[in-house]
Amino acid sequence: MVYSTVIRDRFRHPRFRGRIVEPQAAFEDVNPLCGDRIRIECRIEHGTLSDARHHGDSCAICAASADVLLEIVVGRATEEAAAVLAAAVLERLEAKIRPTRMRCVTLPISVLRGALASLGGHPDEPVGEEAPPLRRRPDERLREEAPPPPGVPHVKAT
Amino acid sequence: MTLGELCRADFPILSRTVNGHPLAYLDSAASSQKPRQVIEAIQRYYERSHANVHRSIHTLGEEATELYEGARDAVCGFIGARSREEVLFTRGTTEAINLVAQLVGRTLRPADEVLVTEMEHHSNLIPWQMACRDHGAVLRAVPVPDGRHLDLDAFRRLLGGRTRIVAVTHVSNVLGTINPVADLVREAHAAGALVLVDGAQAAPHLALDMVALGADFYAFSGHKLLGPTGIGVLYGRKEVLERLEPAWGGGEMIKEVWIDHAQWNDLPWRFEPGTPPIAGAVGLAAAVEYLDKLGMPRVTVHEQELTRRAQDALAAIPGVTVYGPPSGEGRGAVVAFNVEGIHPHDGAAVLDEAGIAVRAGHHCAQPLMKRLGIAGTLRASFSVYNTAAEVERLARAVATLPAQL
Repeated sequence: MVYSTVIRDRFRHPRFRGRIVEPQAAFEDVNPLCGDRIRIECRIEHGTLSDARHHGDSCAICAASADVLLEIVVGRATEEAAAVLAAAVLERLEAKIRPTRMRCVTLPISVLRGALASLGGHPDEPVGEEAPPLRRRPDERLREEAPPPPGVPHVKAT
Repeated sequence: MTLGELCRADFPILSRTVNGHPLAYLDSAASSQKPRQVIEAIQRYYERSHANVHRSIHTLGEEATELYEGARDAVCGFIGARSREEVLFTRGTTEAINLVAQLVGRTLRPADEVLVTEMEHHSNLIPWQMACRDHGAVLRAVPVPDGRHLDLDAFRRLLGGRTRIVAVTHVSNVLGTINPVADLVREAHAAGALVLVDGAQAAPHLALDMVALGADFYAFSGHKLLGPTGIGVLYGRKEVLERLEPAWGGGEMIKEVWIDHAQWNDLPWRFEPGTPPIAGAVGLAAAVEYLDKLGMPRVTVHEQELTRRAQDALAAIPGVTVYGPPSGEGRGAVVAFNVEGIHPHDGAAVLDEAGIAVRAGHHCAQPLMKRLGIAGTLRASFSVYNTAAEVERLARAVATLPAQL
């Protein structure tokens, strides 16, 4: 199998796919490489991300990434949620991701940050992984000081 | 022995394995592989004859110039142009179209119109969006209502007295549709419009005759035509090129220079400022010679047979949608398809695991994707070196996709 069990399972049986009625924060963005589109909607209560859902048209990696990301962040303070890095998502996906597909993992993270940005989050901080230059060794890819994603528009979609 | 079986041995890369499987390279529409003859021509050039062209009065300079200008003659013959002055070297199709968009763009007046189509690659759309933006012109597009063919009635309706140029692809890089460009050219010329044809997906697969086609500009890339990257061709009808002011300045494109003005060089050098891609031209000449030896009509028959087989085999798999004209209608060497419930990138990743290289995504044709109501497709594309056995491998692997995701 090309993809990990977690990726296939989350793609087929997502736990956090759907919509939030009257979300306090929402954002969507497109991966220009493949045209994938993902939207994340959030319910915020007293500074806590009490619920969140994702939907859109994306590949299995992107959909699974969004699903485990929301699993990680729901119930956390919004500041904390906005600080989650790709390494945490990758760990939960239990998958080795090629550099060409890393944007599929990071797109939901930047979309979540876009949503939380209106609440005083940190949308411009590095997500921890962005198509690393090929000269890097694979074991270096998860380092947190990776450069910020280039050109991700932080335009509120709603 | 089929053409594919005959010439495979000329392509060193095809003997490698990918993920433990023999490589089935079905992504030639993105970029073709190179025969040994091309690789060796470039190596020979760099090892024996490299120098700058045109201005070096020494043996190497003369040899390099001879090779570079010889490449122009080879391309001139390959595309059936009337004279070598009509063959300009660029870095590729995209640069060629951008050059025309600048050359013609500066002749546009507010409310003039540029006519493109919904099936254009972004490289034959964005330069025209920019030209229209810069000169106040209006961009119009011929729709593809059935998701397969241009609406020719709409083309006639949209073509008007304000249409200055029609920019249309010869062969769609997604659908494979072969557009009736000679007819479009006739009608556009009757309306007083110029025509640029994007030949990126046609030149590697169809015998070309610029005189019969009648287009004012025809652009294509070397790297899709068994040649190297970094070289492309812009054919321009001499009468049209002669009345256009160069868009880019530099050395080589001038005859005489004063501090405040200059006199332009003759065609074709007027539009080739700076040191040109000499090695690229040498490689392209070798590629053209290679294809000429195979014979383009034979190449077309071989590739259309593979394409038809692929189309039929894929369409027979439950859950597979094949895009483009129906089987039997001639088409370029591409077959775009989707498997129900499977994102194209996931499909391509699984196929790669089996050693099969296909393209996945929007293929730089987002307006067409929007028309088709999809985000992207898988796309298998073929060249001279592909075989029916590879098509069968593809079909078998595609049939297993749902079970692997």
